[in-house]
Amino acid sequence: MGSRDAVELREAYEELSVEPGTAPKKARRAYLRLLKKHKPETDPEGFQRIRSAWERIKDAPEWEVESLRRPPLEDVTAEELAGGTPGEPGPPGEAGEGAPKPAPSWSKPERSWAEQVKLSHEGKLFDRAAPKPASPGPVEPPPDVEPGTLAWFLEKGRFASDAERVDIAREAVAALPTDPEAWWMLHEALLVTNRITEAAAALRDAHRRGLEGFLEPLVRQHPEHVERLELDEARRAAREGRLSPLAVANSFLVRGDAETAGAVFRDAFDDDARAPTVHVALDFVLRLARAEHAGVARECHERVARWLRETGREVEIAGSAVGVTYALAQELAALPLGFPPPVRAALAQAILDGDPAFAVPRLASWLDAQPKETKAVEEQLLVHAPTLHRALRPAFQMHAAAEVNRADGLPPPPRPVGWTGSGGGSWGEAPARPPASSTKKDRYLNFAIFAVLAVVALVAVLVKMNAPPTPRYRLPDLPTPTPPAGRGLTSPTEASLARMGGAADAICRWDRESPECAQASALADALIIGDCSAARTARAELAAALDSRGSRPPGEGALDSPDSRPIATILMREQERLLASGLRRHCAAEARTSP
Amino acid sequence: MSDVIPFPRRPAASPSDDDAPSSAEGAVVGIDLGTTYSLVAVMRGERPVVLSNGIGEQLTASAVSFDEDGSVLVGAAAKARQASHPDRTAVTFKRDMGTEKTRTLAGKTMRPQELSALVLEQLKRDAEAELGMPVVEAVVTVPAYFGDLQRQATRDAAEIAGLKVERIINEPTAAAMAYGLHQRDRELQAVVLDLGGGTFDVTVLEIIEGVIEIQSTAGDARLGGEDFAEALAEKLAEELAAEHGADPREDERAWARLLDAAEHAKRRLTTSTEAAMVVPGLRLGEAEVDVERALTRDEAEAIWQPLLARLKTPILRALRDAELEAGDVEEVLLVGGATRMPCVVDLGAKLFGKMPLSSLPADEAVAMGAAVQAALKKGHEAVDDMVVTDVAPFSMGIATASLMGRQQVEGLYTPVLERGTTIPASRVQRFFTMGDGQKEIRVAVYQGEHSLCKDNTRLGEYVVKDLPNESAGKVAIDVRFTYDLNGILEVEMTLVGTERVEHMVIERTPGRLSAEEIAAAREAMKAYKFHPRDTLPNRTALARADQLFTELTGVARDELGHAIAVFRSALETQDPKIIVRVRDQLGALVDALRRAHR
Repeated sequence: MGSRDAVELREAYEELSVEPGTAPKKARRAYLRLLKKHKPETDPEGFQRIRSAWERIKDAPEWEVESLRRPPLEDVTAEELAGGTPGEPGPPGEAGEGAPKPAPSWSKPERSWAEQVKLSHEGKLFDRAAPKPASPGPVEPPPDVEPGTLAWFLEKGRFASDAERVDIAREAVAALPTDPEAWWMLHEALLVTNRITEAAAALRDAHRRGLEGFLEPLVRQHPEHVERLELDEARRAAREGRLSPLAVANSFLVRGDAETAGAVFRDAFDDDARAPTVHVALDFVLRLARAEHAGVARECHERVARWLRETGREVEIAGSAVGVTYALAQELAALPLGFPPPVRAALAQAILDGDPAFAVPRLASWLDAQPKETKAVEEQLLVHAPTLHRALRPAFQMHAAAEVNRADGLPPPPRPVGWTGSGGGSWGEAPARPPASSTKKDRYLNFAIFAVLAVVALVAVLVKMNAPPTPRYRLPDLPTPTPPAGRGLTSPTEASLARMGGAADAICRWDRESPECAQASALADALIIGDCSAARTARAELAAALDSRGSRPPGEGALDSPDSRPIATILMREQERLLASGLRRHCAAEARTSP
Repeated sequence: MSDVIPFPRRPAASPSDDDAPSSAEGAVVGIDLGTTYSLVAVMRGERPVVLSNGIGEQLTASAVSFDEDGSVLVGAAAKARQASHPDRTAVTFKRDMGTEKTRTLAGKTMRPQELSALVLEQLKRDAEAELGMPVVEAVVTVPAYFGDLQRQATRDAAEIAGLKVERIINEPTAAAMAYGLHQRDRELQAVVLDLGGGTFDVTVLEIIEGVIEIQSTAGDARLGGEDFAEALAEKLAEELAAEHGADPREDERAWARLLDAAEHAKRRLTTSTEAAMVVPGLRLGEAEVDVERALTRDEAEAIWQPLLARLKTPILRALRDAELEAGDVEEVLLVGGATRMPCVVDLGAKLFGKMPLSSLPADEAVAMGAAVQAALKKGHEAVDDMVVTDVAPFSMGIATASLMGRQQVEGLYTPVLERGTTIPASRVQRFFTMGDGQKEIRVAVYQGEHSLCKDNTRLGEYVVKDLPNESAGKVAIDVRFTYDLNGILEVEMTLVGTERVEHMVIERTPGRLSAEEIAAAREAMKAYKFHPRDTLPNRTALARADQLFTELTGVARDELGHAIAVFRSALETQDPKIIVRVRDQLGALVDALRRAHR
């Protein structure tokens, strides 16, 4: 469908001379009244202007219209998420607990505890630059401070060394076990001395004693030290909206429990108020992929996509840099399970860094190491991730060039500057040297042989010099250029259909002659052309074929041996599930639109 | 074929009025060029008025016949000759517009544009006689569902007839305008159902803040009152074939008579619950059979069930396009002769939950609306504050290719400007190259709604050449479609990242007549002799009487024959008073005989 010329929503309202954010019904009346002045018969240009303005307002989603009425929300960067500072708008309920109140500090008292925690993490809380008094060490607090109170301990440690402050803080905690400020003091002191485990333990103890407000910092700042008990609590709290779900998910991820991390992450989107911003959500998905948790990453990605669609945020993405990341993340998530994890991880990292082309060296070196996989990898990229494929094409070209040159005995073509890929295998050998000889007669004979060989070599060199100067290499086969215009990036339907084709191919890879391959291909093709009844038939046949696999021996050209058969069956069933869900999606849609 | 038209005969309008919108040279009229009937109307003061033709009627049959002396008859006389001289007569050629189908009458092969041009010429002459001034320009209506080819064929017909037709509007929009003209102070959501002789159109509109906003249109180009008559005739033909072994459909003349009888029965069933299809002396094979088939309204409605079901589809689609439910519609307006049928009224009532209105004369509404549009175009003061916005009647796009699964699929249709877009409108879409080093992109423009180009109508093609040498997907062109109120599509192609812009205007498409062909047709048209207006009533009366003569037998036929002879001799006297008196007598006799034989 063609698009209108882009009109800013605000400009659209101004064109109709109404207040930005006015409800569409009122805006429509303004448009209609203006029509009298700009009739389509007499003033087509003016008419098109006000019509575009009205259409822009009419089709704007509710949240966009609302946003013109109130100031924009703040965003959160990935660093903040990783660093764990509460910069994002907190979930409801948290505001009461973590209200900034002046916390114990050996420096300025008016800083909030949030600030101080941040600073303590960076080690800047204690004024290291400030000159220390000549006699360091715990001093006696002035007599007007009541002993045993927090202030007393603070005074005691004012000029102490970091290590001594730890002991003072421990004393404070022992004396005032129910005072959260004491625990914060201890935490701070331990952090500064780099005793992270103990700092985490301090937060944990405080939390276990029933003190409020320690769980989140524990989960955020020390994810690797959170114990199972706290994690489960945190997960519950996240579900109830008392904790930030993303922090909890991150915690699980750091501990290596990707499944739970994914589950917590997905729960976050059930309540739009708790959902993180788009940047943060996508970064998390990419991190999952980078950490090679492909399955979880895919599920999380699908949840994010669904949330975007439901809340209409898709428009927000289109205009910003997140758009590129989102499309690439989608493609990355679409890659099948069989895609090599190191390459996938490299791609995820590259996307996170901003350009998939950054993964080219890694991919090239991987291809050199595993040349047999080249075709499969390239096919998977072509089918599921065409944009990524385009970005990674140099890697395939270089690899293909190297392969051909190696076959010809030539050195590989020069790689670009900064190439860090390591070549695998030898690149051909030097021409054979004539053997050395001792006797004069032999020497003459050798000389003759050498001369002949030299001439032959010279001739060979001359022949090659007359050949095209660049090393010969074959480019991978590309589709022949055709005159019609192409649609560009595929729509979700087409991407889905492409996945169907990939699933059928994955099944066929095991055994091209098998009935499963035939039925899967038939199913994929039927979906592509939109023949739902044929698709359903093929699906039923495919299921039957899979069920009877056990009683059938592997075919002649089959990849699955008796050892790998069980695995092959499992993987085929996965592909079959994918095809089935595709069938449901495409043919259910068809059932709905037919009259 | 039929002359029992239950409309009062209105007196001819006086030729003296200065309120008709006129350009410097002449008047601008609105013309409803229908499948079975055509009308011409003009804005008079505050209201549009339909003008009468040579025999004092407002409906002119869309029929063309060549008389024995080679002169052209258009209207009731021609329609009457459909039964008696089918090889010299053509009717319902509107359905052939936009195709290459030709008809042969009196040895001449004529295209539908030429036949329509004859009808337009007749209307033009009638209007000029009524208004007393030349008519140079007209606004002509077409069914909303007419594609671009058909609209262009209509333009061609107008050009052949020497009429300047800049604006073609949709029939239901015209009806909406005629209706909304005096409703502009109200606010309501309405639907117009226009079931004419050959086409069915649905329009959803809203009148709000004095603006008539057309929201969506849909229709069926092959569904009209004639199809209902044909259904009855088919049923009868089947029964006759089973009974007598000979199928009347094989005999052109017999089939024409059956259709006529069915048409009468259909009309009769509008006002009564019983009717009969009567064809005395029908030729079936070798025998002649007196056919008299009684029919009840219920039975007819059972026969019409599939047609009624077809009526629902465009209605639902139009509602869906306008994003409305049937319950949101406040008024249902019926336009077009066939909407008089009770079953159609019932269908409307059931679908929308309220009684449909026929507040405008069903046959005249479209022509009246065309007159309103003509006045709007000229800036007539009566419609000074009226604003109407219309929508694109069909989607327009280009042929694209796409990577689907493992293959590259071509021949896909990507719309650029969707149907239902308020016009004039401009939409732009970006397209990419599919291969590395692709040198040119073919932009093939289509019109239609199907997802494959082969099911749509091709409008034109342009090849953008000399593209920069880049890999697939790196070269893009922005294709912009601009569609104006006159239905002209302009395509602008910009090579992204450069200043290069290419233009194409879709006006002359394949299948449309070239300028030379139109000029030639125009010349041929000038050579035709139209039957003189003053003798047209006589000619028509004779034709109707002749037609009835062929249908009757026995005593009635003798009596009619005698009356015809009397009339012919009256014509010889050349005395207008005698001629008029005898003609009226003849007319009365013909009416009486027809009534008696139903």
